[in-house]
Amino acid sequence: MVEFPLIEVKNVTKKYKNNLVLDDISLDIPTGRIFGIIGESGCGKTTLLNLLIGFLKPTKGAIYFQSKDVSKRRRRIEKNFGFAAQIPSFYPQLTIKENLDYFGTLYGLEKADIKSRTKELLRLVGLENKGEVLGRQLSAGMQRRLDIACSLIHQPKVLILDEPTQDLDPMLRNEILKLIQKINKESGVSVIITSHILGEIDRLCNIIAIIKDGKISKLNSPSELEEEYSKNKIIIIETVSADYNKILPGLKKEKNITKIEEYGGRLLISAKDPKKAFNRIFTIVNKEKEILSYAKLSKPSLELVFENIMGEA
Amino acid sequence: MNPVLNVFQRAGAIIKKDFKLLLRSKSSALILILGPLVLILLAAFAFNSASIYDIKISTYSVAYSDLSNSFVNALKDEQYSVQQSGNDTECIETVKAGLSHVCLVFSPNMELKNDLNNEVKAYADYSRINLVYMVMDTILGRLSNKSEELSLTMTKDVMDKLQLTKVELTGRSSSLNALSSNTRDSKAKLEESYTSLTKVNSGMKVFNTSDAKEQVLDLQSENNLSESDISEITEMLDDIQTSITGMATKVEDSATKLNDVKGVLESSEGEIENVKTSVNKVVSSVDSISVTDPENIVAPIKTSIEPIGKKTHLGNTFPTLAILVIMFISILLASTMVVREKKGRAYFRNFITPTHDVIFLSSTFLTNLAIVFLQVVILLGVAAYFFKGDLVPVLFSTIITLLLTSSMFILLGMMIGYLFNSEETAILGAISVSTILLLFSNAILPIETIGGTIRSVVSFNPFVVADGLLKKVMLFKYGLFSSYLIYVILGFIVVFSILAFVSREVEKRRYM
Repeated sequence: MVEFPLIEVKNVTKKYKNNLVLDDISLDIPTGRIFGIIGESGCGKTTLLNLLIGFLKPTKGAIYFQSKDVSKRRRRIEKNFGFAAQIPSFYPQLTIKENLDYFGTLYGLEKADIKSRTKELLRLVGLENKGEVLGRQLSAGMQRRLDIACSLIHQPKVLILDEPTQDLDPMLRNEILKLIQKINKESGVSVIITSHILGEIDRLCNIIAIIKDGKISKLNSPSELEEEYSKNKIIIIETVSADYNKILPGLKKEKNITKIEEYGGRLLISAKDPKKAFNRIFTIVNKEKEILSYAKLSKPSLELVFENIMGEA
Repeated sequence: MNPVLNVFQRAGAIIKKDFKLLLRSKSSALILILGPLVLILLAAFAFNSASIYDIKISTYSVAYSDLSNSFVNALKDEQYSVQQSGNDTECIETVKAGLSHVCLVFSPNMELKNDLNNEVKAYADYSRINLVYMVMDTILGRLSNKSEELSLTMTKDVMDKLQLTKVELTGRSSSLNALSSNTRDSKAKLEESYTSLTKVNSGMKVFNTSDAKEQVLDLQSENNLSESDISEITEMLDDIQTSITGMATKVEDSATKLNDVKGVLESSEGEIENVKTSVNKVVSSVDSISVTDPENIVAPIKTSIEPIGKKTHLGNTFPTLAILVIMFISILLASTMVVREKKGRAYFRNFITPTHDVIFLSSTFLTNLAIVFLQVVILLGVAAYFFKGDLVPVLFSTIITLLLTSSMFILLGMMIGYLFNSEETAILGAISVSTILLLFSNAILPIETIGGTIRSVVSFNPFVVADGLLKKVMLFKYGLFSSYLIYVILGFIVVFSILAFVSREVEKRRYM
């Protein structure tokens, strides 16, 4: 059986006056998955999300939700989306329950539905005992959970999360990511998530779209992306002196070496042909009378894959 | 769910949320709810009187007289604080230094005499023009009262004397009549006497003893009377003749004199008639003075300004004060609430819910209206204190006027809120708009002092319109729809509603 995409983005261009933000983007977002959108800050991720929910209208092209044009049927379609923006959007002076009750009413839910849904969501996001607590009294992680709960009050088919872990510490970040997975698994809701922290996408998403210069640069699963770029293995070296000023000029002259980074007292060297590069590195180190204390050939992380993609001309 | 019910449910949720936000932000609640109440109460306490308190007057005169002292005492009686200065420069300096509001310089030895120049010069600080007018009005009024009092005394004296003269003359008029009548009688009697005398005289003149003598001679011849007897008789007859002739002369003389007296009496009668005519003229002339009341002669036209409506300052200024409070509360509250919502975290989530903009707009409006209505209730409480029973017949019209006015200003405030991007600029905008509306109104200077086209525009200033309507309704008991002003307010409500909606849409596009 053919699976129709939940959302189809067809040749969408978005311009703000003369500023081209998205340039002829096309992609399909499947049902029930976690779809990641990655890109540098200001690359148009948030604009794309706003286009998906019909909040913005494309300059060119069209977006379809279950084959219906989003921009033409916004009022009907927006009920199918839950949106959590970069900054949690709720009333800090209202309690968690009051916030959910308020937004539930605005989505046209019956009082009884709101009550049962609130109970269900508070359990889902782990705020069961905090219903009467004011929004402003919650910790950053809890505020993010409340924001997600508000986005889900009307049982949307798609949950859109715009950089949901922004400004959170690693522990809270993990907490939120686990919550997103849980929501996706338990309620079957499709999730579209944007981030510039690639570790999140690596663990969370089924499909990743990388936006570069207003275009979809890559669209694949994380493993496939990693595989595609794994041939660009990196060489990690460390010298006894940990002073790389002598060897760096020689390494930079090598055409095979594409990138050199100093990180944690070590050099991370990317090369087109790692084996050849390894030999040249040894030669240069010896020539400069330095002693290698550590050397390793490693697969790149998704961060590096992303950096490679972004660095590609 | 029933779509209509759903709309009300959504609007209710928004209003409930707005109230919660307002009440949970204690500073906002304090400023928005208690602020106006304090303002109204302070105004009520401060202006609830028709008296003028603590107005200081300096006076100076080279030589105070009873008259100038009476002016000073009159001012003291009027609750003014009066202090006497050592010289006129010192007196003027007290005004410059702010120690007194007016300096009055009286002419030396003021007295009510023809050859004296009685002048009272008033020096005042015209930069405090309203106070100056008020003080000068009272002082000049008082001085004019005193002058009037003096004129009244003098005029009364003149009038009393005139009245006395009239009474005297009227009293003497009967004596004159009697005199005239007596003169006429005397003249008539004189005429009779004269006629009798003339007749007697004529008889005497024709009296002749020669016939008697002839008879005596006849008798002598017939009776043979002696010559001596006859001669004796004839002599007697001659004596008689002589006496009668003498008497005739005297009678004629008396008749001539009587005629002279008659002429004098005729002349006296004429004189008496003349005096009578003069007396009558004087009496009728005094009678013809139509204004005999000295008060009316001193001030033939009495001018007094009778307040239509209330007699206290607050009673008259209450409508303006009420509209002023409502204008500031409504515009500030609405603009602040809109900007706070706009700048709040949840604005975006509200935006993406399937709730129509009109519901948001209406709910914000209703929240504001409910809060302002609370203020209106308090205002009416204050009004009930000042207007007492007078308020009951116009209560409904007053409430409707105040609610319509609130609606107009709330929508204006909402429009300002949607146009500005930060709370600070919105508050500045709201205060600026309110101040402009206040400045171009009767509250500062009469709008009639503004020239031509601008005055026509200013007469449609929402503040002026609302103030005018409330005054008509509250003070002059006009029916709500008797004045065109209510239609102007309704027009403003429609226009501001549209503008508020358009502003929200513009803001939304900017947001998107």
